[in-house]
Amino acid sequence: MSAVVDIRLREKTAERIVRITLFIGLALLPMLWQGQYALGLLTLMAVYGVLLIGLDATVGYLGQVNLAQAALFGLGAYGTALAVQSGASFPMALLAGIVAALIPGAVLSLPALRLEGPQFALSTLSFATLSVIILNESESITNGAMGISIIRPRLFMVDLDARGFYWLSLVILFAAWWASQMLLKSRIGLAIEALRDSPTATDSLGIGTLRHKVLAFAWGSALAGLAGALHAMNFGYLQPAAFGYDLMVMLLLGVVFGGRRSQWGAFVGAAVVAMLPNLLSNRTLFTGLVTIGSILTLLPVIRRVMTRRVPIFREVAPAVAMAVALVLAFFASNVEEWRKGIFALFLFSAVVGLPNGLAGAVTAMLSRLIRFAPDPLPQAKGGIRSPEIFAGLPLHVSNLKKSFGGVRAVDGITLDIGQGETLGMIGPNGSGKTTFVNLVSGLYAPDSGSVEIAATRPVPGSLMSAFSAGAARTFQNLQPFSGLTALESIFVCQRDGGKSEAMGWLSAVGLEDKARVLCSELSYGNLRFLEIARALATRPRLLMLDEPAAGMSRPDILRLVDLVTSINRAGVPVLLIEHHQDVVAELCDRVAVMDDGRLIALGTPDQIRRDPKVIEAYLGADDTETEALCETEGLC
Amino acid sequence: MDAKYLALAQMAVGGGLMGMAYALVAYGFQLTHAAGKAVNFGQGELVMLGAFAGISLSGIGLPYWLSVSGAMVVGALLGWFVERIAVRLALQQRNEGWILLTIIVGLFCVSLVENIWGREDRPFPTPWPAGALDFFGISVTWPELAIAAGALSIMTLVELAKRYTMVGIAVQAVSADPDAAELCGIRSRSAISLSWAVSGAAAAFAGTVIGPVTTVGPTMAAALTLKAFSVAVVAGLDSGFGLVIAGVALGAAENLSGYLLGSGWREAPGLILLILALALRPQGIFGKKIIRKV
Amino acid sequence: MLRAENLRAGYGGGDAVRGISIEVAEGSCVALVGANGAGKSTLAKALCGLVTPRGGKVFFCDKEITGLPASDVARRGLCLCPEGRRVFGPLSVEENLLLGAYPRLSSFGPFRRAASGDLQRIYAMFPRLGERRMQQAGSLSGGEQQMLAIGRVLMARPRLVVLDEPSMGLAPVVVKEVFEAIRSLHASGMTILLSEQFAKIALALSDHAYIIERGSVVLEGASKGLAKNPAVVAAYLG
Repeated sequence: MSAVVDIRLREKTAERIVRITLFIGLALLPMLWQGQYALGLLTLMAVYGVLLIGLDATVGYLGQVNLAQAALFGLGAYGTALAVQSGASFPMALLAGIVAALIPGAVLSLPALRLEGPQFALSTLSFATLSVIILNESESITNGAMGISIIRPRLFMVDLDARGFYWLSLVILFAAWWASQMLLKSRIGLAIEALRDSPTATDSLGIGTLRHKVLAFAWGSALAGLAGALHAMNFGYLQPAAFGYDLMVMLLLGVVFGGRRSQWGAFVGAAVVAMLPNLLSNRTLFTGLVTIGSILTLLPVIRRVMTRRVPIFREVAPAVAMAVALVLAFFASNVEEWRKGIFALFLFSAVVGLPNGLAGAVTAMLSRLIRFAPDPLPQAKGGIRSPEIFAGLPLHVSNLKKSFGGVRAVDGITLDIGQGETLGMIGPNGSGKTTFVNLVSGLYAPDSGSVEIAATRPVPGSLMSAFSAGAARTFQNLQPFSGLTALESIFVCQRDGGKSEAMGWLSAVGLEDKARVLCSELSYGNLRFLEIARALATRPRLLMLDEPAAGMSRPDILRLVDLVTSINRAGVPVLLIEHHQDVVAELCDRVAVMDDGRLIALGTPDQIRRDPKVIEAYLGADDTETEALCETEGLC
Repeated sequence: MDAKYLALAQMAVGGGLMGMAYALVAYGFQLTHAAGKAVNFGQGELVMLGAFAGISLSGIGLPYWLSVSGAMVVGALLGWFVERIAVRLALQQRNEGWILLTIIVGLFCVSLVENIWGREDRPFPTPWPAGALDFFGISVTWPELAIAAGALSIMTLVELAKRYTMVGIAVQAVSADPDAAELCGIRSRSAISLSWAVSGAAAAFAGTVIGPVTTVGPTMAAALTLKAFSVAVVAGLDSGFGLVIAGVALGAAENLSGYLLGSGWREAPGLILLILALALRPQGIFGKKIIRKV
Repeated sequence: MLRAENLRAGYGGGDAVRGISIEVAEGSCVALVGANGAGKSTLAKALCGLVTPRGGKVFFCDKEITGLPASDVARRGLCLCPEGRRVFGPLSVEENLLLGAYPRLSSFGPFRRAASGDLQRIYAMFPRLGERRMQQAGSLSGGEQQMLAIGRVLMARPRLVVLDEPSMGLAPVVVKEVFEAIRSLHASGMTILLSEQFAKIALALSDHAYIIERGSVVLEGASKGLAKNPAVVAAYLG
């Protein structure tokens, strides 16, 4: 590793300085690089910048492939154009563009965002196709495929020339950049990132998966509309075909190449998308760039071969793609004919070779060279507190049943947890303990029976509803928010208070020194503690811990026992699923024993230890029969 | 019968037969989704390449059946190739990059076709007789019948192979539980590759039967992917023969709306239905509910 | 026959198996005993190639198999009957069993006839599977699914069977049945590695045992001896 330069600046401040410098530089650029052509390109870049910052909200932060952005851009542009035609002023026309994209975007988001992965991509793709059809066919309004022309209205009595409009676009780009950063670094943004990593966890912790998804999508759509409005005013002529599949592919190229989850990435992507089509017309420049690209993609392969290892697919594939592009650059009679193919090759190399895009690669390099001053940590405040007073039992379950196929996972369980009680639940592997928690927390809807949490009856099968009733849980298979730091994971779940309270919860579970560490880098045991803190921060009326000690080392288990004891003392009702009998005996007021989906015993730890049915369940067979088996083996 | 209703019926039947081709392409989606939970967003491009491969093979003088088989081989190779270079890597990294990668490969295919075969639409030569058959006043052409017969027979053949050959059973095992299948000595990667190859072959075959009805050109791909996808999603990505119903319904709806609202609106009802179907029943009308595990 | 040297494996952050060495001799029955989460299942998966080991080596019949894909390991005769049964729910009982013999059967030929001898053997062993040959495996009860999982492994004619938590989630009376089956299997000369949370029964069945805690072997020895060892009695046989 090369020398690390320590600078006293915080990363945020440094970034802001670079951004302002960039803004001033871009604003001054038309003085140096003169001519209509240059100005057109720069304006286009600013417009695409706004558009891609919007697209990044879904593709980057939400982690879903959104194929509707080009169409929303088109809708925004048409909205503005139609508003201008009916005599709207400049600001009103801009607003019309935003609304024209925001409303269909929001309507689309409601069904689409319940979907994941391919289904989401598909629904956005259908929306995009549908929009272009409507623009094409509503001839009385949009003039159909013939297109629509407008003259740019005056902005507050000022007639903007091309340069003035460029400056306006630039200001809007940086405003959108700033606003996006504020939004996505806020608690809402953290929630959006959290739900990408684990929608189950965000729902069961009451962050609300759907509403944050809709918000991200609406924000992306609004920016698409804004960009569309600028586009309409810039060009003055619109055609539906311009907002189809080809533009969408270009936009994806921009986001992926620039780098996801970064406004810088969107900006770099916009520059690429604006320049690329013009690049193909300049053969020498194009050949040169492809050559550089090929060499860059070949470097990792060469490094592998030099160290005598077999190069892996991720390194070879981009090199091969760039090599094909190179062949085209040199031998194709007309590279513009191969436009789509060349874009495809670039995109392929970017997706495979630069998973974090150019911005991600540069950030990684910088963080190796420069060490920024860390953000100061807030003072810890608060800690484990008793829940708000509520009437009734924290948990009342009656005759709960759930089966999967032929297996009865939970088979008629009736159970209460009293105020301030810690109830342990033990039982052999696969006896239905986790399924029980999943039913209570609303992940599954029961086949029959009812669940009441803090005297309210949540909607069966709804995590959010169980959460509103007061339930919070941890997961046996960890559900961390991998992209967030420990402090952020708490902050995003917290019901009240700010970063100081979040710090308070962290120190309550003994993780205050890990506040800045990303969840993906935390150890297994610490993640378990973090999940408990996350659940505590929602101030639950019923805390469910699903095998918190699984995979923990001995000292960690002792820490856990102390933690649960103090939770118990604060009066938070706890359902503790656990395998270690000694842990349960030490912590619990009462213990429930499950076997084969049924509750076979319920009582104080002492009673349970002596219960013959429990001994039988834990030893797998009735004692006399085991003895018989042992005898035939000649053991006893 | 009233002439107007007869015309509508004619439209519906023609569209329904075309819809069988959508069902066949959608069937390819089901195969790959069952095996590896991924689908090819560039499947329409495979249909197109299959059709062009068929045209070229007929062009060099091969008989119809051989050129269709040749096209299927090309399709199978391409399907395998897409899985190998685009899907496998991205699924290992557990992100949605594979969707982008399949779109990208499709884009490259379009560019390839534009430069090898040109941008113009072409007819697809067939040995079928030129006339049409008449059923109660509704005429059906031979190429249209070929779509239905071909689609049904391919789907039936593959389904039979899945049930009655060891390889087929193994592929089903991989889709049920890849790890457990590995423990039985089944190489789940090969099973997934095989599914993609069969899916590609089905797409190419669809190209060779659609070609004679619509003509073949580089613009046919994108719309086809979307239609077939709609069929697969409406029917359910995991469930069998709901496809045929959904396909026929979509084809008929498309033709009818084109006839009643104007040709530009052809695709609109299908798309609206798709968005609604996704919103109301994401697992498909015939699909089973997915159980989340934590 | 099977030997692991200083094996390390895990998922995500920490290692669940932290340097375990074990050995299974031909014809013996060896037990891995330990609580839930001790690393037994990860060890079983690492031995059979379902989890790629992070360190250490695995030898089977004197050949190194470290890092081979699970399908290759299974083809060499080291077969895992996984935790949680993992039968192919949508397929029939008979298809599940046939899949166990997959590497041996021809892909297209009359595979049912080729495997009929083995099928009869399994049906004789578990008559209830014979009665439900054509039923979907997913609709079987937990105990029947466990029988099917064991039957499926035996169809492969394995040289060594690794049984991972065969008693998991089963009613006591079914557990007994499963263990009877394992015992007769061992009596017929099969080499068995049994991973089990019920210490008493595991120690009763096996010749040799390893006690595993938090990813390491804390005790090993002849099962008879371990069953009388006061530390083991206190922790596991209580």
